[in-house]
Amino acid sequence: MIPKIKYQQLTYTVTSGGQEIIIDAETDKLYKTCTGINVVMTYDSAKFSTLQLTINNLEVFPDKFEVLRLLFRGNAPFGYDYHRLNEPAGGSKVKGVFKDNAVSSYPYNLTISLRLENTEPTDAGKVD
Amino acid sequence: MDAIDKIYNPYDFSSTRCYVIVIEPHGSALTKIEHKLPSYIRTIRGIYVTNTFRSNIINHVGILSLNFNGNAFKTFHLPLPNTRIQPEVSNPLNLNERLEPNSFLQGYFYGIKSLLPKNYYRISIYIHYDYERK
Repeated sequence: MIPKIKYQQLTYTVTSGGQEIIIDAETDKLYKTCTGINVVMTYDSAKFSTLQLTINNLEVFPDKFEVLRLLFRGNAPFGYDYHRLNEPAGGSKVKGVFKDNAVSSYPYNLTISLRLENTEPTDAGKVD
Repeated sequence: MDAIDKIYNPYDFSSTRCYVIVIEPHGSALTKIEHKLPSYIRTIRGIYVTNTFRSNIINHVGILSLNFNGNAFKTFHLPLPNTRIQPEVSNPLNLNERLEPNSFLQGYFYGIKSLLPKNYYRISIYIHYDYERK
């Protein structure tokens, strides 16, 4: 039986001002639902950069959506920091664009963390 | 639900869709806002506003005033805090405003004079609206 929750990380490096990073990934096929998202950046002033994201061809975050709203919340205790989503996973395409809007201090890292869950325990992917 | 869950309950971004309007005051004290909302936005469930102004001294950037459906008597007023004192929470302010067809978002942003005209900043208005999943 596979674990009920998985945290899937998408990590990118921003190397220059105004850089656009194309996000093209796929959620783990063994987990049915994407239930949360959290973004971590190693440079605080980059939080006004924008992240446009679609999951399974459905727009979740539109153009001009600032990363600020998806960051780890400094005032929230550990375990409460994921922003909730309810999107189909199971191999869904995750596509989008990150546009840098920081002032200086390159390079920095961007990590988009998706929380994937199975509402019911499953044996999918089990190897006997 | 426990008290801690109520306090730190994160927003469910799948419960609504989002539309973003960006305003750039360009150093003027009063910035007029008039934006045609797309027809697929029928009911606004919430609004969230961010701004890129940062300062250790000045706490507020200005006042945002919006109205919907051309109803100036039902206005949404919001003093905008400096980003440093705005907590990084994702929950929008509840609104529940049903829009007429071809509705405009109208209003103004009145910036604090001491910031002007040297400081460039950007204001983003996030409209969270109902949608039907196909």
